[in-house]
Amino acid sequence: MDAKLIHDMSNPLTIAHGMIGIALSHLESGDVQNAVNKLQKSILALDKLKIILQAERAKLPNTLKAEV
Amino acid sequence: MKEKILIVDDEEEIRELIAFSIERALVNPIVMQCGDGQEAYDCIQKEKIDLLITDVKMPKMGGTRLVASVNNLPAEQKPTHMIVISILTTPQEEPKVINGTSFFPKPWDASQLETHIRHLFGLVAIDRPAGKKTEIDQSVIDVFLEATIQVLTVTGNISVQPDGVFMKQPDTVSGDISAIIPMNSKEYTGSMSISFTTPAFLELAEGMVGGHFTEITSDIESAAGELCNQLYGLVKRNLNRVGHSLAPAIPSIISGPNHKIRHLVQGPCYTLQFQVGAGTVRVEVVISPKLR
Repeated sequence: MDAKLIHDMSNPLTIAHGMIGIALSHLESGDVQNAVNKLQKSILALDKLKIILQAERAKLPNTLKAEV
Repeated sequence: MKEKILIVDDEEEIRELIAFSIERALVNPIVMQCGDGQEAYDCIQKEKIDLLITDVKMPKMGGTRLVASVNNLPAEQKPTHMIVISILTTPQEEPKVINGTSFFPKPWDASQLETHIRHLFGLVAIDRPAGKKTEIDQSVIDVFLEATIQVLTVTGNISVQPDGVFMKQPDTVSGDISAIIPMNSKEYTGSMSISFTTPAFLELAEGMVGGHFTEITSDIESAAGELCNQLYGLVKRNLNRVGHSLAPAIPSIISGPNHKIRHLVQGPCYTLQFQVGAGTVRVEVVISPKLR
């Protein structure tokens, strides 16, 4: 796996993980609206990660695609 | 002290995550953000930064070059502390410190980052029941300490001996008469109380209103509220001078032998204890940062 791909995947993963953490903090203090906002940001980050993974999958030889 | 923190990352959401951790780790910090190393370098040359937190891979100027450039600046311009967050290390690793610069992996552990930031600024982290952490800067404790001595000495006309600052354990007795006042500012919420054992309160009441008292009666109970009012007023004035925004508030009085105080927010209870004559005075402070 090249360095660029690791970097590209690392940021959305960090954002998704971190936003869920902030959402939990907001929930602890009863701030549901802000918790939902942060969860939406985590979903956007995961969507970005999904697009990156799909693009990587598309590069695989056809024989491997069925298994990944 | 208001710490100036500069966050450098080309991803807005990453900056938001780091800023959230900083605001949990420190009391009332000044948080600035830049989207690349060049912008950050220009900023650092203009004002003294206490902590620089930077990503590595960024447009225009990356984090590695930024740190190298900053290290070539005169000492008075260099940030006091630097943290580099990168994907170069694995998430399982502990943060590394090389030549005064800390290295954190990406994704990072938020609580580990918060603890590290507090450690850099000499703050002690205290576990709260909900798993969050908070702390009060030593300079804030000093304001309470000095104000208490001033109020008790001047108003109570009595000598006061500081007897230590400690974290109060849950369900600990506060005193025989207390006054509690809410503490609300833009950045935090909480409460402060001042409690007296009977001997301390009677000596203070005698100093304040004259006469001789052998028990706490309704005639002298209001002296607890007056002392609390004066203490809070002095603390508010001194803290607001250094950037806090404490709002005016009115104290409530609680009396009864060996009572316990329930503060308005959950969190570590900083207790300042004083010896006054044959008795004890305790000032308790509990604050909790407001989440934005």
